[in-house]
Amino acid sequence: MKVEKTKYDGFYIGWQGNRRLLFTRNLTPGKSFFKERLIKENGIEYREFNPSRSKLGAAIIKKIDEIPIKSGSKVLYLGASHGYTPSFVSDVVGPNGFVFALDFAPRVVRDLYFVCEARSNMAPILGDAGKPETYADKITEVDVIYQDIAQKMQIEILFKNLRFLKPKGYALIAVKARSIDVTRHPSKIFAECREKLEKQLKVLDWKTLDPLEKDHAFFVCQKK
Amino acid sequence: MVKNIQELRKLNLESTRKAIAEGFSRDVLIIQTSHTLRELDEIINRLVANLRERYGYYAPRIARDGTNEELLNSLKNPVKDEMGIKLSVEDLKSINELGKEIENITHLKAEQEKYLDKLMDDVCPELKKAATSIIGAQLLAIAGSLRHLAELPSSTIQVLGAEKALFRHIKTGAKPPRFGVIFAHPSIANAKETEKGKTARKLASKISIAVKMDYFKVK
Repeated sequence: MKVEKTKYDGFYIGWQGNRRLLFTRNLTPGKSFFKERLIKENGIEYREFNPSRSKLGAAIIKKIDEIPIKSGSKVLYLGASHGYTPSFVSDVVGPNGFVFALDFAPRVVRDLYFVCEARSNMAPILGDAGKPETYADKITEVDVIYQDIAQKMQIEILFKNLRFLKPKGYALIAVKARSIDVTRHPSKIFAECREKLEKQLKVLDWKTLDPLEKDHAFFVCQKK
Repeated sequence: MVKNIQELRKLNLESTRKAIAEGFSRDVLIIQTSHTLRELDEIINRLVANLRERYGYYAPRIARDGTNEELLNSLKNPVKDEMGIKLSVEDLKSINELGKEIENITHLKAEQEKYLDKLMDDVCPELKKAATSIIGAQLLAIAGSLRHLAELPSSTIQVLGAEKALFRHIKTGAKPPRFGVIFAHPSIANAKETEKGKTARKLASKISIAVKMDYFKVK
């Protein structure tokens, strides 16, 4: 399979027949955490990144303008879950970057722990993203905040965490319309989200993630 | 102050390990055991069905009409029916081993039920009294935790387990369900058909109070 770079730093494309697949360069060669496929090309090992399993992947497929996560970035990941997408963010930021992976549910952080243990650029945090004071002493200032939390007050939660974001830093947020209001039309909810976000951030681009994720949108913002 | 990131990472790994080990509540054991019981129930049913099919070629009458107990007992001294095919000693031995294992699993299920009963006594005795061990555990499993169950209104508790019917009623206006898993409770099972709905509502109310007593540790 031929692996090519994309305009997104750290993300690669490979073709299998007609199918286009996403990859990142494996920080821990030989190790696979979620039964993802590993391929080798020119002596470099890549991990397959499934956009149906990840909102970040879906945003890339939907051709979002940019993903400001680069080699060396420090990322605060809110809503890390079992660690699928965080593991690929870890690949992209590389050994000089870092991912603080936070989630609220103990059962899920238990799985996340094993992913973080195996990777020198990841740390797990069991915590409530709505109470940043509880983990402020566990993290550093970051270049990027990535948030994927299905809660009604998800935008407010993001704002509470902006204190950890460096000036001109980036915030990526996956918004689930049904978590905010299950009765209203998603497009109206996304429009309101955009307005809310604009109060403290500059919205650079956003995309809905259909058909990969129903009623979800992905926003890329920058601190003003 | 510059924070050394690798040190922070070690601290996070350690504090996460601790937090996960300590943030544990025993209602999880009840829920997991309840799942085990459901699995064992299905496994036993499937194996018994398979056994009946297999043994039925040799002794069709018992395989067809016998209770599980009669079936398993007859395997110890197998008698060929007139209609039965001839099986060798080895064939019968193989079938007998299947029967033995089914008995073992049935025994395991009984032990797990006893354990569940003790757990319920320990963690939520009022729920056990109001709803019975098995149903109480099922309610906990659906709610996800004792805390969540304690926060639910009794109308929700009434229909926990009947989600398909409930959302169908909400979306299409079909008749709403009267009960979910509490259907198996003796007071509802033994009630007159016209009284089942009322009984379910009252029972759910009692359960709701019982769970709150357990969660907030009111004696």
